[in-house]
Amino acid sequence: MGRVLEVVDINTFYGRSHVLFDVNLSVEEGQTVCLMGRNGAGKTTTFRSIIGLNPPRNGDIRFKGISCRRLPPYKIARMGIGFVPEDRRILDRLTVRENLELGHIPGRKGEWDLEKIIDYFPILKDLQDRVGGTLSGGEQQILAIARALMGNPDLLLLDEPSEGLAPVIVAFLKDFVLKLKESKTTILLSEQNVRFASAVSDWVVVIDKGHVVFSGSIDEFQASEDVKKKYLAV
Amino acid sequence: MDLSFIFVQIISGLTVATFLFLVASGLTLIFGVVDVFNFAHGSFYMLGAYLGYQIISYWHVNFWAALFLASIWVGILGMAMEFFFLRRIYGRAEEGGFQILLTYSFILIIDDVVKMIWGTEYKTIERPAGFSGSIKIGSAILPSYYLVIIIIGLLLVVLSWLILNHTRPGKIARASAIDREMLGILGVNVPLTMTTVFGIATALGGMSGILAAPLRSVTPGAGIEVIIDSLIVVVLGGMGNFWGAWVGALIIGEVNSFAVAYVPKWASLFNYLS
Repeated sequence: MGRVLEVVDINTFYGRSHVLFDVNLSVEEGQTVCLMGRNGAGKTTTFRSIIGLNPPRNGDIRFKGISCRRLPPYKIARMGIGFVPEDRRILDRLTVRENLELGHIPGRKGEWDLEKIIDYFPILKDLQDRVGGTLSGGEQQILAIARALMGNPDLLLLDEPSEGLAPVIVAFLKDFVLKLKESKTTILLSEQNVRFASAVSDWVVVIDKGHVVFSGSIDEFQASEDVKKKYLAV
Repeated sequence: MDLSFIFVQIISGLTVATFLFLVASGLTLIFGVVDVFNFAHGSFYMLGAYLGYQIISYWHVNFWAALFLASIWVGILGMAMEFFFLRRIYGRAEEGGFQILLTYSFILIIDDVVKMIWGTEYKTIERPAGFSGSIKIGSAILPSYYLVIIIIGLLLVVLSWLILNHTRPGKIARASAIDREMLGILGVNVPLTMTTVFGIATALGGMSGILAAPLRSVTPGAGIEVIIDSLIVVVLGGMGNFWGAWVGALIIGEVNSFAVAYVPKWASLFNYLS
């Protein structure tokens, strides 16, 4: 098992404001790592740093051993990182099928194609010709994940997948992430929902005000009541 | 007033509409996808006409070869404008102001370059061989070149529809009008897309310049006239709306054609009224 992603001492800024301070984390092949923290702790910024939307000012990000800190997002995506943003970013005037088709990255091979995605997410079958903007929040979240899978990523980044969704959809997503885990997909997700995170993760990293304050296995995290109390709204 | 007169006016309106659509579609494509209002778009139209004139009169190639070559050259110049200049202002806080300054300055530069190379006198391009006469449909007599223009326009409409809706590059173009950042995350080289779309759109502008040259004369300043008419079409059809531009061009073309026939004095006013 190799390291898929290594984030080493990154410092990220929005203009002049310093948002991430020497953040470290790594994801092993086949592992599901959960980045936890309150709103504004720096979870989304960490993701935006990894995918190249807000490149860190220093430190390094290595994906499959290759530094990608200075690459534009499209090159990072082509290397094999699939990103599902917090706000899903469905292309709202395109149909569901077109959204999926644009998720395909020419030249990247793997098990996912349109047919298999539709098999896997039967709900998308009936929605194929609908325009993305007319989908419900849950449907959009599923589409966003399916679209990222269309690129056959070696690492899937899920930014707060359960946020703002009805409990029944959160349950569906949980089962789905577990299924992905079984198929050895490597996942880095962020969450505020401790139950969701506990159910799917192998490793937990807690971030607060841009600093990593905890990093440990899911069992260690479960045992650390003080970490949960101090840094998470439990 | 007989039916054949109305038919001739409809066809001549369609011809005008086709020119307007060819120019305006490029303008609206750039606005929708690249998010730039390119005031210099009309200047590329003019440049197309001059390049076509140059190629035909100095190299003695036929009209269609000149149409092809000049469109490609204008497209390459458009790509250069995007790559070396516009690309530097995307996403800046003052982007809107810079866009106006930059694209407007290109009107002045292209106008002066054209005057330096070709002078200020009118140039003409002959109608392509085989299309200089008229044809008779019923009792109506029409210049056959009008029909050529209309057919080329329709072919381009169909081709654009196919490309935009049924090919990956077309879907990418539509998606980049919605969310460029997300498209990058999906592995699409967005800067390259911008340059390519800009090039195709300016090539369309250049092409309409040469197509129009046998009917109107080639003059410096043609770019400004054309940009104003296209602006009306684009606003009428909705900024950035490709199909809206088609409808807008049809309305303006027909209104103009009938206004010229019935109230020639006031014809130019009707563009603004419609």
